Amino acid sequence: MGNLTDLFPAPASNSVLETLMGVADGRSVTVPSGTYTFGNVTASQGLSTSYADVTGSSITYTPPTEANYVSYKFSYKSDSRDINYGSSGIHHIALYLDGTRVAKANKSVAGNYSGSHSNNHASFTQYIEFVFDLTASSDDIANGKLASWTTPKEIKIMARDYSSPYYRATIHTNIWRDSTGASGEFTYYQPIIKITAFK
Amino acid sequence: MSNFTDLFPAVSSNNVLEMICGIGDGRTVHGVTNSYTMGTAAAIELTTSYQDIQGSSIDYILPDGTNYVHYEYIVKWAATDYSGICSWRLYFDGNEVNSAFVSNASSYGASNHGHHLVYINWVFDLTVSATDYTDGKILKSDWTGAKNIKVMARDYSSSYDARAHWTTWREGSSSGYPFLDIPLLTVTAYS
Repeated sequence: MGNLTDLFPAPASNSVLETLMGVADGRSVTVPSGTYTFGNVTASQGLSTSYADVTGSSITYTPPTEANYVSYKFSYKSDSRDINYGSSGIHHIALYLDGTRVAKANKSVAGNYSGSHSNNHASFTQYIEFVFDLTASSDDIANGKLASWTTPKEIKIMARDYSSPYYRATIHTNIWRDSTGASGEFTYYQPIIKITAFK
Repeated sequence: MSNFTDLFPAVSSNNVLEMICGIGDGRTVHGVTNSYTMGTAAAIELTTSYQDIQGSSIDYILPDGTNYVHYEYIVKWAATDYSGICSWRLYFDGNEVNSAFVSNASSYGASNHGHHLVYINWVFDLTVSATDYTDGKILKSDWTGAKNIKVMARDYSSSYDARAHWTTWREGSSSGYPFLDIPLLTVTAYS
């Protein structure tokens, strides 16, 4: 007769506690830690030289109690602004946790400079991703480290242009579709959030 | 003596039911209950007509209990002329998912150096009460058996051509181009 542990081996497991994923179309998604409602993006967003919330990036999340790490990924569309000063569309991305900037996650995004500001064609899919470390001995949000995360905290992205009137950007924007300009619902791309909690 | 539940703890679980992940080299990937053969990609020129993009197509069968399906296709794009403007459509069972549409281009330039990845992403919501293909919302009873998901793409015009799976330069040279830049397809089912 075999050992009991041979007959009933320990279950296979992994370090992923849950993945919360959704499109910013206003949907609600239920995962083991709760139900979360995503933003609803229905238009592209022009940036300015002051930081503004990026539509569709905000979610208020509470990790499962066993979580040691939480990754946040925001996939969006970057576009050089459709004005005569567009060209490379340089913009800056900032990640915030509960109102505090996570400086370690800073990013700048741009297309190449075309040599003419009227040739602002740069338009591409892009993402920002960061992993929060919940095993720290004290909170250090700027570096994405927390001693604990047991209550709802808002994660969001803010963005701004490099300068004005030159190098301005829009996000969530489709300029073209097929052989002509995009119109209606095709003029914007709804971003996607993916959060994974690991133990 | 230990408790029985210490020796045999409850299964730890999460909401990930299955992940199918493979590159476009014709390989077969085994899921929990089904196997999937990836397409085989080659460096290609897009045209002004929509064409299937190799390595993007999968006839996917839902695991039991699926509420959401994330489809992600990562494909290399390269400009042939100027900014290489092109359109990328996602299809479910022959129907376009309008909300997943993306156009793509680099900055305008006569040197057409633009090379980057394009991410075609969508999360199909199966918790809805009615199917709406244009928004990628599928009633579970409308996703029985294998359903095809794929990407199609085209140029904006013959003046702004683009390429897929294409790399022009490698190791400091363009000798022998085009080089294959192979796509990656990932499909994840969540409860």
